[in-house]
Amino acid sequence: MRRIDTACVIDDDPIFVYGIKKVMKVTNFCDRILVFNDGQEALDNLKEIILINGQLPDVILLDLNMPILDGWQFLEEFIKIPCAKKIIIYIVSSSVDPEDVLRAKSYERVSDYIVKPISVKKMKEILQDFENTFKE
Amino acid sequence: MNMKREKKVDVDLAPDSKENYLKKELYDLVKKDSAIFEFLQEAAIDGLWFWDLNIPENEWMNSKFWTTLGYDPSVMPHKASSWQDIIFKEDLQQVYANFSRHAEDPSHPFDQIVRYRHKQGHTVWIQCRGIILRDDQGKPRKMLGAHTDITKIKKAEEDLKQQIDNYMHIIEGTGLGTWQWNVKTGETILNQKWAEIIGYTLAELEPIALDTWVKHSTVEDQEKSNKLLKDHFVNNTPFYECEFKMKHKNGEWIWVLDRGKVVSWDAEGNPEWMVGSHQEITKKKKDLERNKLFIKQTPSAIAMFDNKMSYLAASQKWFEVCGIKNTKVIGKSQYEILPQISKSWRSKYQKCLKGEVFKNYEEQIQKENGDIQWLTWELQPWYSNENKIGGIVIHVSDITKIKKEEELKSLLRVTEDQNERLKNFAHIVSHNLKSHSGNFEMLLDLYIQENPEIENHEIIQLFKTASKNLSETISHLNEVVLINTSLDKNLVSVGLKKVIDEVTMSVSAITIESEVEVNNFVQDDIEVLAIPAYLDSIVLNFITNGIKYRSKERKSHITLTATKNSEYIVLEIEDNGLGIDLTKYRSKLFGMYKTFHSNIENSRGIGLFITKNQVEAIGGKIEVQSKVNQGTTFKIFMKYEKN
Repeated sequence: MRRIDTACVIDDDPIFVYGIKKVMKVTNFCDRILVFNDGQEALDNLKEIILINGQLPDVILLDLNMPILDGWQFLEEFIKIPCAKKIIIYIVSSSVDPEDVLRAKSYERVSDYIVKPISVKKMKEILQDFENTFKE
Repeated sequence: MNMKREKKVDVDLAPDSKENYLKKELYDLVKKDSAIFEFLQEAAIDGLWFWDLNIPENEWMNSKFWTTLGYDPSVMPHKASSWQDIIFKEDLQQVYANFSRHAEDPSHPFDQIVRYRHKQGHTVWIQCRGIILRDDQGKPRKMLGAHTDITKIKKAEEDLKQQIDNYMHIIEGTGLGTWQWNVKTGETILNQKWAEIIGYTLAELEPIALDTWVKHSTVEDQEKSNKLLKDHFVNNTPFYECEFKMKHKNGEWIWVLDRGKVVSWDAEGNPEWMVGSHQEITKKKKDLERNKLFIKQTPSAIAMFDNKMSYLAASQKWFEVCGIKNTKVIGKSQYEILPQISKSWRSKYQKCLKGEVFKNYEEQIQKENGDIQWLTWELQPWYSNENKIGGIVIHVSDITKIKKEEELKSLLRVTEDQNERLKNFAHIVSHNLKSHSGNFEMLLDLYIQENPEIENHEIIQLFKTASKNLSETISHLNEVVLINTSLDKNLVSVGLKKVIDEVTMSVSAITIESEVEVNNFVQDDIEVLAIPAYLDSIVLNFITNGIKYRSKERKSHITLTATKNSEYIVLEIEDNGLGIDLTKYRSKLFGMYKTFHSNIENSRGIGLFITKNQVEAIGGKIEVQSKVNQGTTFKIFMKYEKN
């Protein structure tokens, strides 16, 4: 069984970020959390990590509605970057628009679409899901 | 020689003893006094000749002989050959013939008309008469002749002949049928053309009488014609003129213009002979009829007036737009037809008759019944061939419909704008409010996680409820927004019975528990056009509603049936539950957060609102009938696929 080492949260809402950190702590979700406030910041930093061959996150929780580079734009750019490590991407958004849900499904790299708010219960499910994915 | 016809004095006539004494005296004078003869031959005769038959080249001609022909007598020799070149050769034949007959038989007159070429080139017509003077043995010795210049008479005769010919040509050329009618005796004479106009030969129409016309015309036209004839006879109109129909041999009716005039009157002043003509005017008449039809049926309101504002023509539409009920307006004045017409219009008419053009692209008019009418109109003078203003033409269009459409369009634009704003608003609700409420929920969840001891605290409990309600409300709003933004998209044909069965199955736990019998009587083959998820939701909502609002006083049932009409499948969902007081609640029934039964749990007042939106989103509608404490029937109209 594999444990999540680093989780990356890309969201501009500080309350949500505060909340998810708490939930992750409560659920013992991971060891390390990377937080970026918009898609651009996330992209720049992740590129940097790949460049210096640093520690990439195992899981990315991606919001859609963000300034500068929104979730979709980030996705478009990010999937172009060649990367050896398999990173699981979850979209975490308030939107219940079926179009968003469908669009998320169209990306192979996106594992699931999670509607906010996120709860301890939901987080546990994600954890379970992750563990199942990497069960040998 | 036929002397009795002659009025002129003939010098060679022997005087009768019983003659008038003056005549006798004149004859004597002539014999004695050559001056008298001199006067006679110069004044009364246009030429005198005396010819020696023994020496035929000798012929004496008097001065008048030559002056009549334009020659100077003093240079002309007294020879028979001197006039040979100026007489028309073809006329000489006649002269020779008459001469030889007269020579044989003195009673045969030497009298003929011959032509001479005047010195100036024109023809001179001469009546040439002569007598042969014989010796005692009766042998011709001399010949005396006299010329009378009849050129003027001849010319008048020629002219007359020419004129008659011309008239004949005109009659033939114009295709005029002619008639002569004796008003007193009824005698009637027609020409060939008269018969040809109606397809017959004259012979075919025999016997010709007034009846010949009567048989080929209509009773109304005969009356009309009689009236006009009387006018001509009694009131002495310059001529009679009448247009009427006549039956052609081929069975068709043709139009004839009949004109005539009385040419003779009897001693009492009654008309006797009348002459006239028939002219076929079928084409003109048909053109006119067509023009009339054209104006009458023109799909716009048009009227033409003369310079006294009397109607010359008007279209059917004109009567409709102007509200004129009696459409027999031709010849009547506009002021008589529309007495209520305003001063400003009257003045416009007058100005237009002086050449001004008026246009108005939009005028609002209140009709008698209070309706608003929008008109666009145009006033224009019309000009006769002489470029004089003959009257005016008015054209009016009722643009009320267009105006209304414009209003509707602008209303639609406003609605679209509002709809767009509503969508934006909904979007804000969906995204922003939702994330805030989500945060609330999440934080509360975390707070309770960290402080389990406060979970049962009353305020925290209320907090949780409030947070949950907020999230729910927002999610309802979201649902509605999504329905309204996916209108008419992705409709597929869905089997209705199957959907109902599945929904019934999914709620079977509740139906069994609440003892509600669900009867699905919808036929297998009925399909509706819908978004499957919506249809599930719609059916589910009505069934759960039926269960929720059942009456506990009786055994409950929900019955579903479906019928098909030309436009919709109508799904009827009938229950025998609590019912709704529609007089009170009809307008609010499908509103958001409306509930009508305070004692029912889970009555959130959102179901019907969403259902209605979903039904409308798939192009349908809902009707409802209900009686309090008897039950409710919902009719859901849904579109279906038509081959």
